[in-house]
Amino acid sequence: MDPLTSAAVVLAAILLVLASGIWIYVGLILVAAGSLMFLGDMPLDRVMNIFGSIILRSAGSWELSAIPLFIWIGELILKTDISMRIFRGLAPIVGRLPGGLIHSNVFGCTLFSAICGSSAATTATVGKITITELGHKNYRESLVLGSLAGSGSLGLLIPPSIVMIVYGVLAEVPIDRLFAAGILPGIFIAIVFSVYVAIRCLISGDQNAPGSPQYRAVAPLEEPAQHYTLWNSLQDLAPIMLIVGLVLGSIYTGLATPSEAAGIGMVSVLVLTAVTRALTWDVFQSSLMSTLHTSIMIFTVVIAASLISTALGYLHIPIGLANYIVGSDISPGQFILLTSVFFLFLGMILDGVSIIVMTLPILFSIVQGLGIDPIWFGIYLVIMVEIGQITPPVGFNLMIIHSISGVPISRMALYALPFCFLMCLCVAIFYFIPEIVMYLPNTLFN
Amino acid sequence: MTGKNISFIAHLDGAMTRSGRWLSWVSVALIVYMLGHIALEIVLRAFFDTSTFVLEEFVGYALGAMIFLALAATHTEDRLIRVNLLKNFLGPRGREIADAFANLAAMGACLLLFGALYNIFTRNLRFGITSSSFAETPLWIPQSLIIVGLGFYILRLAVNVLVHAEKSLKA
Repeated sequence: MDPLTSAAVVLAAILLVLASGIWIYVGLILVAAGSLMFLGDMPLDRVMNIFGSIILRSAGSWELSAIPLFIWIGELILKTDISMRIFRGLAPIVGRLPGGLIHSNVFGCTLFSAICGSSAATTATVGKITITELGHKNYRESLVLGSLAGSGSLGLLIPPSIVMIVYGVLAEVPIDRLFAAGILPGIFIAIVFSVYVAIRCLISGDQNAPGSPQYRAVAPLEEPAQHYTLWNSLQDLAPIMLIVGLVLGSIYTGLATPSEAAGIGMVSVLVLTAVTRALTWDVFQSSLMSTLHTSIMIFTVVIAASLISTALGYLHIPIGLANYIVGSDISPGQFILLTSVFFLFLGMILDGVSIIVMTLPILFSIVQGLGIDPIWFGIYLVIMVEIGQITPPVGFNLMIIHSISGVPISRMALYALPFCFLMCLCVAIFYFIPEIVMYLPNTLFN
Repeated sequence: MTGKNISFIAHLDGAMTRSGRWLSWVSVALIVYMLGHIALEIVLRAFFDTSTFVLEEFVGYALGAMIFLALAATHTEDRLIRVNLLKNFLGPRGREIADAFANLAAMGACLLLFGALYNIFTRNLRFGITSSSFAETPLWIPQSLIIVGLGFYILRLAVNVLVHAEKSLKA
């Protein structure tokens, strides 16, 4: 069977098992085994030999050990009052911008993303404070929730990022370079979101735009911080900035690998929460248990993906497909356009890690064949996955915000729509100006 | 007779859930161990110019064991990713039957993995194969935790099949 037909059969099998409602990792394992046995004519014992060594290698991967630690950082912050510190610290700074405290969603998520690698934790942590605070101050619901949904997804792009670790391990791309590549696009998207919020508030004459009587009447955070100064802000933000500096600084100065940086970040957060008396035994236990379950959810699909990736490799599908695509004169731009539509579709029904592990084994050879930089493609893929986080019906950020705010997911999806478009626009900008993505990794590592 | 069978399956389900929770606490301890070892390594390297020399190896073992020991509890908590589009079109009985088949499929997949890992485990145990590192760790030791975790998960899935089959009869 030629690689193209084999790829079509495997893809159809994956979609079939997914639709059947079985767990994604089960579907991937069964398709991987079935592909080797029926398309590759391998006996069962040989398939088992291959699987055994692959499982042990991927389950014991040192690079993946960063994942539970980065998740734990997010869980611990989610369960303590650090998120309140971020909001309090940002409020006097962003309150001066048109759109006022709505920007605390954008910059709160950006800042939090630099500590924690999960979009869900970012959205939940920032959202549990801003949804209540901004709701009390009568900010426009559509902008508050929409900006939170969009900005929360930055948790995947701004390093440290769990999805980037998964991509790096599967594509064998250096994770520290990926982390470096995510910084400027992350900041760029945050600025685009913020500018959009400001423009919308200025155009609509939003009641909470600075300078309006209503805004002065409901100044930010009257109760705890009526006379909050820039100095108070810095005091609140300094420990968080210090953790960000420790985590990212240790990676880029070459002092620590991403896994060790996760350890440094985790110890820093433990110290911070202990010093501020936010760390209790209950918080410690429950944060660990949540970390465990989220980590296992990710690891099952990553391990299963390594099996299907190996199976596809044995069947020569990726290289055959790459040769076919390269031979058919598709330009990198057309390929990116096609995959974008495909990822937007997948984003509606799958979570981020699943999208990456299911598509990468097939797409990565094509990417290399077309001469697309794997680092650039990683960032592009992460942004597409971010968009998937805010598209219904399976948009994790929408679900999280729905659980906090009670706003129906369908309405949430409408609120998030402008931010989806903005992210698509940013992808186009990054395609035409790849230096935004590649500048830092090229500068720091070459 | 039916009542006794139902209570037996429910009893079994409860026992598996409790045991799974205990195993997940072992996994939690392994996360703490990973953090501790990484922190120790950084301190040794930064202040004493030395190393444990086994960081990547031991953290790798811990990670593998953590994953498989907590599989059953994570499954019970319904935290593993699946697409539920088909289930939305089914009635209560259909859903239970679909879940029973899903658990059966998971059992099949995990038995395949178990067979693969058990072969490696017994080979390493029989020939006393050790890691090629400074620690020369007998490889069967960390692999035994993976075997225990995966074996327990298969039992959990088997009980789930019974639970869903029973519920489908009641629905």
